[in-house]
Amino acid sequence: MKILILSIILFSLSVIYYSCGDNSVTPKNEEPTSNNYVKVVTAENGNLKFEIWSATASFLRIGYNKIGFKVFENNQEKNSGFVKFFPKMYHWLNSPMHSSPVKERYNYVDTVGMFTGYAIFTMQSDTSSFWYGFYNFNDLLFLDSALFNVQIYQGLQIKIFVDNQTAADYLITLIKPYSPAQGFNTFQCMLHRTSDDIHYEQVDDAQMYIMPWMPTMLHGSSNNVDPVHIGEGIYEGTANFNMPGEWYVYDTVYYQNRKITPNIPPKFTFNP
Amino acid sequence: MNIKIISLVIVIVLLINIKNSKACNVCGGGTSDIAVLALDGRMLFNMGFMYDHYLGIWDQNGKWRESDFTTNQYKIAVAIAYRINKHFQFGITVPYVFNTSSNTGLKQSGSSVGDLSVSARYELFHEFQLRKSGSKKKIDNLYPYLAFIFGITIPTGKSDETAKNEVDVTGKGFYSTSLGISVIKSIIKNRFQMSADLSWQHSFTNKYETYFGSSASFTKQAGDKFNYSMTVNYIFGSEHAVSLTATGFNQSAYLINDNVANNSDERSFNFILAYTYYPHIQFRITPSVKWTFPSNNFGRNATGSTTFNINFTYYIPDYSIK
Repeated sequence: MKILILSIILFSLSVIYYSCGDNSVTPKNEEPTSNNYVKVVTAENGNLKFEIWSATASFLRIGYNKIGFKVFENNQEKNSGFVKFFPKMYHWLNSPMHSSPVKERYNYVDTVGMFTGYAIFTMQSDTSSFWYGFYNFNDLLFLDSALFNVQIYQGLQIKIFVDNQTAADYLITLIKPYSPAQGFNTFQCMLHRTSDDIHYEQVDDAQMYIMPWMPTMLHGSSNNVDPVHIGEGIYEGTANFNMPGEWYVYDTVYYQNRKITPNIPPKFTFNP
Repeated sequence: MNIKIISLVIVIVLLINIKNSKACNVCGGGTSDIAVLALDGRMLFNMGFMYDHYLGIWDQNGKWRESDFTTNQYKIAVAIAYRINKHFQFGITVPYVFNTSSNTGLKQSGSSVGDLSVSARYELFHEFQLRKSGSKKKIDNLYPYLAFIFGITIPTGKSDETAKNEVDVTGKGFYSTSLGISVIKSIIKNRFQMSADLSWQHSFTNKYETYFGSSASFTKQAGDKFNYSMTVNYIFGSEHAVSLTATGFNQSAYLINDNVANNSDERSFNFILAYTYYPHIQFRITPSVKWTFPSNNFGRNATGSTTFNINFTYYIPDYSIK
């Protein structure tokens, strides 16, 4: 009887222990599907501190990052207003600088408790490539030239093409899927335009037409849904990978009633 | 009389085998069965039922990849063959195809007429024929059965160009022709035979203006295909026969817009076990199963499936054919 009571007590304690564990989940290195943010960068100068939190991975990585900022002044956290973030990459001393597409303005979201948005990095940090962050809170507080790291990620898919008529560069960044399944997959991407590799404009009013294709089996699939803009710069559609193996998803883009992608459109590669 | 009947049965068994593998439904129909007449047959009617269960694919590295979906194809094929003379016969096969798929979000079933096949064969030699030996005629035991085979497949089914869904695809969507040779040789007379079939298949370019209901503009041509099969056949008494076939194909790369599509060449290798029962001299029933080894390097850029077949064949004899 004593053994039975002891067992019940131990079992109850173990249930309580696991139930009271940390509910926060470290985001896996995947497409952003949750609001589980983890801190990935801290930039401090005097009494001012900016933190970058990621819901995408436990580090900043190449490609799309769903991020949020926390801002502290004299250890007091800010909970209104906006943040602006300008990442700059230098490859050597006095080298030309280039940037990456980021959200123009990160507004504070009460439910998340952060200034939320995204950052897309086109290159990783290495021994000759350095990312520096330039932070701005409400156009009042500034923190400049804070070094941070961006790591490589194999699932990276950013497609760059040139619009020959305007000579502008366009970037299509894959948001999902990074781990595609056989069958229907939600396909999300963003479109940015730049003419100087420094300033990137988020393009929200383009038309996209996708065509999944198995390059080795030489066939496609049916019932695909062309991506449409659903807000926050994200285009969402559906891609049907009807059998296992390597698939391309060609993405033809029209902007201002003109096809801007080359005749062989940019393609994303998947292997469900 | 009994010897004559047994001989006829043997010839029929020699000439009729199930050799063609079936493509999976998402790739569009498949090759059709070819009904073949024995030397004493004037006309033949065949009704075949097929169940093809798609398992997965071999990718470009020959790695086997399982399918997450249950995808099946059912086919009813009606075939007629007619012998014009001792050397020449032809046949027509018309299939009706049903497809099913468990791919969520997709239409679950579809059906229509498949691709129509017309074949002809010129039989240069038959086994066990009377031949001159000096001033006498005697039964020859040396010559094998040897035939040259010609075929054309007409895209009467729905392809990925005209269908709206994968399950509606019942045909290849392009014309193809084939040229082949068939050899059969008895190792033990009336008991054990071996046969080999080789064929070269050429497909013609198809210009796509639509693709699964969306507008398209490209041309596609399947590479030339080399089919091969080797069969051993054992006869029990006069009413039963069992055959085992090893069969496969190699296909060169596709052409897309007249450019070679790299890494798109295909190959696969399968086995077929068939049993034939003759309840009557003019009627036979042939169930068969085709299976593949779902493991690496038994194919490349090809689909793997398990296929069950049953054929009911009735023929009209004509003993005047010389």
